[in-house]
Amino acid sequence: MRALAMSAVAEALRGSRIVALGAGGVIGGRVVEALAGELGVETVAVVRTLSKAARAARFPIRIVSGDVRDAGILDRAISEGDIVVDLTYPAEGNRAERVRAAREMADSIAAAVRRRRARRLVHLSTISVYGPVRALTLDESAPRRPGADPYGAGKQAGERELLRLAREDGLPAVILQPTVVYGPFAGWTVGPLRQLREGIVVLPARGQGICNAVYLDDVIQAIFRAAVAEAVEGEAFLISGEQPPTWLDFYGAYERMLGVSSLLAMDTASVRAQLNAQAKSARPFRRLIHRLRSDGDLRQTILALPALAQAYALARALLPRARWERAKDRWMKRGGAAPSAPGRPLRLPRPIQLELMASPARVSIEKARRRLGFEPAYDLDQGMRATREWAAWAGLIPE
Amino acid sequence: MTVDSIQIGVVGCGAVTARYHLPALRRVAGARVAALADPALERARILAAQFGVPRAVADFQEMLDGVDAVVLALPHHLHATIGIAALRAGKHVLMEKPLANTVADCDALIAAARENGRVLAVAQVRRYLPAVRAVRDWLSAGLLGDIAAFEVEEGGVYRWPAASDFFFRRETAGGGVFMDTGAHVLDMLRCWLGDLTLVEYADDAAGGVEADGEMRVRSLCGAEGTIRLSRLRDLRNRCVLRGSRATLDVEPLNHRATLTPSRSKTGLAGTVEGAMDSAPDWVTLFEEQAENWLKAIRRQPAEIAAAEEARETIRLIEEAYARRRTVAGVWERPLIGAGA
Repeated sequence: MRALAMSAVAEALRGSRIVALGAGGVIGGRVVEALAGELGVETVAVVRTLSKAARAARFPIRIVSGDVRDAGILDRAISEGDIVVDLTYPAEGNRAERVRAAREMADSIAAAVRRRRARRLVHLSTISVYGPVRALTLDESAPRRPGADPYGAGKQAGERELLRLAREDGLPAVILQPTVVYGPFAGWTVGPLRQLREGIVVLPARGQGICNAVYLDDVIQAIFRAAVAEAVEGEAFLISGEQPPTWLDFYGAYERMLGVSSLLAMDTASVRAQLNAQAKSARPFRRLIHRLRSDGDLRQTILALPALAQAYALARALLPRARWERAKDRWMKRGGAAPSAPGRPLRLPRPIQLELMASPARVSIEKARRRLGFEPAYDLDQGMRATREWAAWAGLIPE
Repeated sequence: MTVDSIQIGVVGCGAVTARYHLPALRRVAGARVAALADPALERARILAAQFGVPRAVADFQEMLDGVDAVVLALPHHLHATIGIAALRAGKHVLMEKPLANTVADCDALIAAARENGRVLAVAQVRRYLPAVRAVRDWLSAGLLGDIAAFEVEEGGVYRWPAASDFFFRRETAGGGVFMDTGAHVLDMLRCWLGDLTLVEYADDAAGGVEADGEMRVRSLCGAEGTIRLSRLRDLRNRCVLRGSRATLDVEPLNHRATLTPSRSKTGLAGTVEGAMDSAPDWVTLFEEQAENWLKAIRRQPAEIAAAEEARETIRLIEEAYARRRTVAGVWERPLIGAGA
């Protein structure tokens, strides 16, 4: 199909009212801004709590607060012919609790969509539903195996329920699976900037894992396309940027924004060993590092741990500065980069993130291109330029 | 309970009542909370049970007979109507800030207080912060010399556990972060520098209430300053006053201050004397506020924010909104034509 220009997508959206569920979040906030601001589409924002409504409240739109599992809340928000954009997910609880909550949320939203005769339901899922991917490419035909990840498992439960209802009951649901979303207010921006400012960020796979990054506004574009595209009910679409960078490139962009040198690219086995050591340790690893110099017993404890990573951490804490810097340069393989001051804590990826960061998989967005007319407007440079502007405004990087 | 104990009614049972007014009033001697009112009667009942208040009613008119004074913690657009009704019924009023959404409503409230000879105080609770008092004293003692410029920043991701959505609607809240936090910050600056006049104002409201904005004002002595407030980003929560003798960098909510003499690069940093632990103990500040209000009711010398002063803050905000320049967020790039 020939892709609609965004102006035509906007025109199609203006024929409906849009109800954004989860409008208090990062993506929801931007959805509301784009609809109520730039595109001039009638919008209803549904937020879990009113304390999340500050961004949406900039616009003269209706704001409804409450749990989407409450049919009354959804009935207040949704009317016949509306397009519902569902950005909700269970943010709390263990894996089982989130799976249960996600299913309940999906059922409640699906029932409301049918009851109120909404035209379309666009549900935001995530790449995390696929779990760790070892293949070189990932497309929508891959099995969903989120494993132990509570976030991915919850999201998978939600999308599976909606896809089942689409197939069996004709629910007009479309699923989007964004990858690593970065940009204004986004976790993959705020988190890395904070980590790089506070410590040394360890990347597995020597930083050469593929980071399927997507700039926030490209996700918004995909949502709007999915809201109006024809014959896409019951389909799921991966949404990512063009030409994915490596994780070293991705974090490197943040390093440059901050003007620091805080990255440590290690091999995956070493990072895993360090994580295992950390898991075995009674207290967080970074606290051990802080106490290394003053506490001989502690030093012995660390020395007893077998991992190469520990040796590195020890070297950083104990080696004379010049030798430390030479060692770091070798590790970094980033000639000329100024080494960080010793004594900053290591920021290890969480086990779930380690799998993501070590993965060689490139996400294929062919299906979204073909069926939604999706075309990323931001490559990493453009996205990071826009992100830098926001980060300076937000006080996260030096002006 | 003493014979001359003042009977208080609290109207509005939202977050500020539950967290601060009721815990503070419980500690105040010579007063007793006799009734709570909220159209959400269940909420009034729950708080009444929690704080041992004998009556809970839905309609505030029902409680007026049994009380001498009322604390009004209501959606802003109700301040004037309910405040005037209470004053006309002969009740003293402690009004949550902002006094009202418009200068006209402020004037009507002030007139009702005068006509009925009742105290109308405004809950500008930050006036009782040790740092705010200290800076006022230092300025009047001439510590900084003549003030040439000032900057105030306060911002953080919005987390107030609002119980109703009035806060986020222009017709009920009257405005956004400037009507809310701004009512505190501008009152504080007025305490320090006297009356302020508007130079310019910009915010991000696009038909709703602003989440982020910047105001430029001039003080009576001719010093110009900037006030930057946000519900979307963490700002430094500090005030910098640049004087001919020294610059003072103060964090009122942390009780910290740094004084740097004009000819020195080195400042003296420390904590304001009399300060509490790192975070302000708001219940204690609300208690002090209530005590002063009760003193004023008893015609004793008291430190209260008079309605006439609060009116000046609203006048400034009203003018700012009327002269608003709208600025979109730096991240709000057009989607149509993006990447072209």
